[in-house]
Amino acid sequence: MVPVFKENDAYILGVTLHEARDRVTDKRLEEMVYDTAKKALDAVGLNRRDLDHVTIAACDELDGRSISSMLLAAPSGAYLKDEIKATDSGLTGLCLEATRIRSGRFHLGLLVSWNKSSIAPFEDVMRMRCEPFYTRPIGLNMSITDGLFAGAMRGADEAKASQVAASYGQAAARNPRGVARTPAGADAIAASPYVSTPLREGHRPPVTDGAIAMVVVSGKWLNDNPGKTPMARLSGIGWSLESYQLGAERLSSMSGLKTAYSNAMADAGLSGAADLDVIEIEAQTAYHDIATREALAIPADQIVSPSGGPFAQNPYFCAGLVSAAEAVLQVAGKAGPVQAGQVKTAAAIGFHGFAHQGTVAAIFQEVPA
Amino acid sequence: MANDETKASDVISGEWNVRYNYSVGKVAGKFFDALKERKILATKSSKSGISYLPPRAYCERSFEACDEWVEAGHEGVIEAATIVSAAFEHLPPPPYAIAYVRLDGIDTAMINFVRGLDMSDVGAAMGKLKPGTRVKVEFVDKPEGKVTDFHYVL
Repeated sequence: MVPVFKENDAYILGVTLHEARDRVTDKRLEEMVYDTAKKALDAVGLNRRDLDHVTIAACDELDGRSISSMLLAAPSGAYLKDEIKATDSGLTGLCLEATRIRSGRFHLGLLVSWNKSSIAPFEDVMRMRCEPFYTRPIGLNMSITDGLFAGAMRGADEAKASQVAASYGQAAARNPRGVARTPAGADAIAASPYVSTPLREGHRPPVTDGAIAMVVVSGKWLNDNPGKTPMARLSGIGWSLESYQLGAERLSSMSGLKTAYSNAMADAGLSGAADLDVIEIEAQTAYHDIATREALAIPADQIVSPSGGPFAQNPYFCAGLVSAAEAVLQVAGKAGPVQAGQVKTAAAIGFHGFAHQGTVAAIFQEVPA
Repeated sequence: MANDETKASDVISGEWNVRYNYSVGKVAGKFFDALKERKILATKSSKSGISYLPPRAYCERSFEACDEWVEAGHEGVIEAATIVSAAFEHLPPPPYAIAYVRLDGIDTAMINFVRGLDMSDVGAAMGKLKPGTRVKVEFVDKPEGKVTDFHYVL
């Protein structure tokens, strides 16, 4: 029998998202993670024994315990499995997972990420990321660094940001995987209070609780298991880190985004945004959407973030991986009310760190029947 | 079997209180000592020619030790600024302004508070902090060797 799939290519076999809520009060974190991982395996007709590895992506500070993987490896399905952890973001976990599959050593894995944002004041936790001598006495967090970013952007104004946030809210309201909310209009967003100028409360989504699990397999595994049908091929992935110094050039250049995106597109053999049917952006603020469109020269008629991005659900640490899941669902034709027609290729772009110091871009392509 | 009757109030609160004693090191130590004399010192690499403020012991580009000290000017240019208008735990009561400023003679920008702004209209105050705006350094009356010994003013 002729192999159908390239052996070391990575494919998404299944995706499961925990129910999105502002605050999950009836489960401890371990239970959220177990429910999500178990459901992901059940959905593709596999069990934990089948796995040859598990990749975890989690943040100890946000989980409220050091070495959070000690307690959360088991509910992720990793008991006595080959397990490794990414700590920058959920989408960084996909980078790690992709390299594991592409190495040729691993063939069936579970990528699990989570964030129970509600257990502590989110921005107080983020404040711990300041170095202690020079920035902690002044005080930085995600909102404040995003305010610095928005203020340093060229060609963006508050009115445009309010319109973008309103459109994200409208898309999010159609997404059954999001937290049910009534979307705010652009005028209401423009009148919402400043958080850190020019960033207003309505320009950013609130953090929520959530978890995600992806079943990722190699082409070899698919060739050996012809009864299993992948949702999408992870055809390209790229990442980049920018300087920690938040000067004008760093804040306005989006150089990390450009590098991550161009690397992912080259990896996928694609040349430009016109090759993509959908782009899901983890827009932690409306300004991130505006800056991403400009930096990547995304055409005005491009379908961007039909899921509503983090405005639908925003389990902060894994929000980028949720955007990737939405891109996979688009390619698989399973995005439900937010499906953007026939989607052959979709990208997900995620950010992490103060003022998007880190960027990951992933490209998903349909798998011909 | 999970208890289906778990209540929303069922939480266990936890809090960490950990004291860290960070070693200041010679470079930061010299910087903080100089602040007491109302001087802002940066380090410089003769290899790359880059000057660093806050001072670094090494050059991030050349990966050689910074081998010079240079005194920063007491004026500079705003590279990025914001007025924090929301209340955050363990941060000053809002509104207050902060800015990354590249002081004269230095290649990198350093964050600090911007004082003396009329905050009665935050939008108007923000308009005075546009990138490229020149600011001055102002020291507190009794510098103690802390980064908050100085701030920026228009």
